[in-house]
Amino acid sequence: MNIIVPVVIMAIIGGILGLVLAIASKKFFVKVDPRTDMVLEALPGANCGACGFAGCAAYAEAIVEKGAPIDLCAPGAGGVVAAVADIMGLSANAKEPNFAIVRCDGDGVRPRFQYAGVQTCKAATVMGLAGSFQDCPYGCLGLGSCVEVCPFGAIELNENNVAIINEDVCAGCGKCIDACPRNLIRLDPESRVIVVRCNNKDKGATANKQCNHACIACGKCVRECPFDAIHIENNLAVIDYGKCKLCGKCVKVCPKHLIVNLRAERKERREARLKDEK
Amino acid sequence: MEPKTKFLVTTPPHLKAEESTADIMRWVCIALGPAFGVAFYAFGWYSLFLTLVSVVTCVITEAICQKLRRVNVTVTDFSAVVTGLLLAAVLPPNVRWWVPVIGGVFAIVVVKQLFGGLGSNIWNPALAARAFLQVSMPTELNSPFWPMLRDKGQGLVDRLLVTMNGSFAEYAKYVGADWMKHDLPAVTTPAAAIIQAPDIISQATALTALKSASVTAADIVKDGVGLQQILPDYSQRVWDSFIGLEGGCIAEASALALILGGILLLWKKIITWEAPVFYIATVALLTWVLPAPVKVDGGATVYTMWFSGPVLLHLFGGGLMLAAFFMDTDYVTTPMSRKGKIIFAVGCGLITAMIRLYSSAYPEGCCYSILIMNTCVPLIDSWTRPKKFGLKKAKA
Amino acid sequence: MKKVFRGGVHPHDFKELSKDCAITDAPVPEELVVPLQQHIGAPAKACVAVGDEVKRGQVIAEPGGFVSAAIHSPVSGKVKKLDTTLHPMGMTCQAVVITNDGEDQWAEGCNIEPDESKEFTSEEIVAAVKWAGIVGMGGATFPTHVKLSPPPEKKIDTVILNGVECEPYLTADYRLMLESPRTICLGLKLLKKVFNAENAYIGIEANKPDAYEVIKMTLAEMGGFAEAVLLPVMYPQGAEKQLIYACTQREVPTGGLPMDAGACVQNVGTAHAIYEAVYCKRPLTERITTVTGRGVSKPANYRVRIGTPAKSILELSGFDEDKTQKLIYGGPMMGAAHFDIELPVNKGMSGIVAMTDAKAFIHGPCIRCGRCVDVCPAGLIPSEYSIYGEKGMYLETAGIDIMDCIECGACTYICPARRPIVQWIKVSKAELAKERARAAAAAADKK
Repeated sequence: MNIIVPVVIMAIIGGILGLVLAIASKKFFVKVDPRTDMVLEALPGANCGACGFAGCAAYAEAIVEKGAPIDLCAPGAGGVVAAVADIMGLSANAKEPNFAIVRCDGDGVRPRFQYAGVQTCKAATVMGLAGSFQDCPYGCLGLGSCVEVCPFGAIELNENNVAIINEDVCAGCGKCIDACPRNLIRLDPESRVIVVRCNNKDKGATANKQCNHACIACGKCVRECPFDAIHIENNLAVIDYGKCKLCGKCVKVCPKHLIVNLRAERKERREARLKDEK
Repeated sequence: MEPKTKFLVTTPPHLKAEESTADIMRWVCIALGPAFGVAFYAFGWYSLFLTLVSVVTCVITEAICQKLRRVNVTVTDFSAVVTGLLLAAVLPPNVRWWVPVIGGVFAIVVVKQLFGGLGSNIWNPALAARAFLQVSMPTELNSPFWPMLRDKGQGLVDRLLVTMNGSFAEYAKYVGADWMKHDLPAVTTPAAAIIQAPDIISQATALTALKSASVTAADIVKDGVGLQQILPDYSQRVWDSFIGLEGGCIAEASALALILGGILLLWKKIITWEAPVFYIATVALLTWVLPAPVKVDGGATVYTMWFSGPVLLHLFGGGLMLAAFFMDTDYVTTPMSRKGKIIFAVGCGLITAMIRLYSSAYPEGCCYSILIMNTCVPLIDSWTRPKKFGLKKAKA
Repeated sequence: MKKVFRGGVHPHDFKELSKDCAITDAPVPEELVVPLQQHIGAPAKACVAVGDEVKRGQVIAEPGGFVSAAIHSPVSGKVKKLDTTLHPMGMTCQAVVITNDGEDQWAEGCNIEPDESKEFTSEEIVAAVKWAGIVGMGGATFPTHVKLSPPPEKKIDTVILNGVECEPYLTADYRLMLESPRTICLGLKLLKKVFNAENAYIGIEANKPDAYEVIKMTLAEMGGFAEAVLLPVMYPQGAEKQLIYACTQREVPTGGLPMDAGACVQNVGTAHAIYEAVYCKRPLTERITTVTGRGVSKPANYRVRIGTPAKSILELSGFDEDKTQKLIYGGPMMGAAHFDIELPVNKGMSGIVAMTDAKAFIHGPCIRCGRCVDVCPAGLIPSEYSIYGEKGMYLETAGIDIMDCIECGACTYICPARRPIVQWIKVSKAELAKERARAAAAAADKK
């Protein structure tokens, strides 16, 4: 018999609280634009923050409520923009996707010393740490800070401990740019396929000593270029993409094979993958 | 890849103090040695068995958790061993073997690893586990403690023989038999006979006796009741608690052994003096000054006189020494600054004294007082930030 | 003893290795590499060309700005080439390579017989210091003439000489105090004159009682214009702000400079260099460097020319490359570990330590033991910086006074979890500086 009293009390409390909740949900109902959910659905959901908002949900809300530009999503360039434009009834200018490129192709020069301490690239470049691990003071440190920050898992270290981007996965959000204390990572549009994969600004002789894959500022590419699009700045070949017609002549003459044609690389990779799949 | 030179390069400083986290934890284990020594000697091998179960559980659980969290397995830093020892320290010596297993798993998984592992836990794992066990299996933990072997004239060698040969077997028999009732086993071996020779009765600990004490109407004098009426064998009990003849949790038995361990930690500079001193002093002051309620003939309540509390029994009787030297000096769950440690210790003392004097059920307050103060640590830390150098105004 | 700062650590000082070795002249090598960045501030600009004949004491590089210092040829000889060299702190810097002709001829007007009775005006002293390219010789290498020219509204009434040498292993200042107390005290007198200061102190740690006695006696002979102060042995007793507090009981306000507490601190080596520059017209071309550690069989204190490759004095001391695990330029608490044994000696290189027992620690989590808080001489909570740093939240440290950290390394020394706290602090400071630069650029853009 005793059990009945608490059961009744609990039932009454439950009933009252349920009623309160029901009233509250009616009274404090916030009207959500159904399009917010649709936009959120269309966004990639990586929460990378490349758009400048705190994640995809915040961006979706900003698009719908505050009329934020719809082409800010870097990972979803192209398809996503079109989808969002569709939802919002706006016209979409399909944006060319960006890819991160690493401007270093270090050949794995041996580290100069044993390093102990914080294993991040920024920590390894503080004052008092004997400059750099390798002889090249401009190249990739190989501690993988960019690998860690990439929300898409698109970066890995190759056999020479240099970061490489997997363009199949890279969404171009640019988070890795800030993680690199050597400023080696750059966002390039997909069509910009000719890049100089080195950042060594030392004189040719010094650079040659530092790394087998260093730009020695020999100027062959400058002479070869029919469009005057490539110059030596600070002992480093720099392409002026305003003039570059992507003819690829410089790629052929570079004695260090530092100027690369990404289109060829991409093709190679695709073929390799197809082979793997077979 | 093999570096070009074998020189090691790090940021300064290039000198390091010898003492590592593992060293500190090892010293804590060593400092617990005397207390556990007394426990094994007095409670017999079953308490050693429980301690081992607790330590092994904690270490294995920590290793598994770290594997699952995909972080480095760091059981070699001895912190799990310390958790295991402290958990065993606050368990009664007669609980069944799975009690420390459940407690150890709770301490490591819920209290420690779910909060991020060593250094990130908010509460003392051992005490939180003890509180968890207390609420989930009160009968198991609150059954009267197995009393100490009171020295009834046997020599040291005899007693060692008892604990080594006899008592584990006898305890084991208990485990198999009707453990909870604490019926006396039939005397079958000479060793068991020696065990039974002393007064094996279900005996309350000193603090429980204090709490459940009852006086007759005739004992009441003008200002209240005196200590003599409540606990006639007060001085005997204080002495027993001090050297370790009173029943209690495994490592709480001997205040003397715990103080020795505490002095070792102070001497090795593992702990600082503020927390234990202020904790003990606060409890001593409050239990001495404040009147405590006592039942008259099990009915109405009277209060003891002011300035006459059983201070020494409060100091040595329960887990105060263990808490003061090993629990409220735990690095992770106490404030970092000296000033913060003092605030923390005084708070612990206050809550302990209040629970001991005025709670209706709990004779012991150390566990909850420290858990409550653990919760306040971030607040205390933010109050007691050290004074920055360079804020003092120059004298004109 | 006076009241000193709160905190501090007591590492074993290993000074017994080299404290009884009298200063000896290191042989001058055939070729010297003189770096043009030997001081904090703008690098000096070379003013000689390849093939030029130079004399000892001749200016080979002009200061590159106000906070910069001139650099003089340490030998007479010929400029072989203009090259680059590594700095102990890791960066690459320009250097002038000079072939020694062995004549050791001084440039004209240099190296005159000192006339100690001569009086100098404040301006003359500062000009001489600037000419001589003197920088803080305790290791900080801040150009001294800048310190001697405070803005007029700052009144400096106290000059303090730093003879604490709290870095373990190093004994260069100690030997200098023992062997030429007179020049140090005269240097201090000049410094006192520069500011017309009322008080002058020389702070010496209690583990160098003989140096204290010698300095005290010398000061007494000179009429007691300054007070020798015996300070308790405690790292970092020799840190500028902590030394000022110990001598004057004044705290340098946070974010301020010693001049804000009316004080100017100079190393005893700097005082010696000032004496040489003012009285003898000798610019800074040599310094005392301790070569020590278990990696050398004969630890020693050398008087060595700037630009001498470390390898030559290391070998002179019986350097065992196989045994050495860590090579440190400077003291072991704040100096820089380096992989190159050929770095040239520069103006701030107070010692070279070859350590044989260096360990590469793997750090554990912070166990909140509070030891770093106890030892921090700046009254900070270093563990917070390490926790923020570990999470990559560098910018958040701005709110918890990271700029008051003096990077003495006491926290990292004491940390039982072996956490590289100083490294995280350095990263955070660097990131904060970058962020400030970014904000400034953004503000400039807006305008």
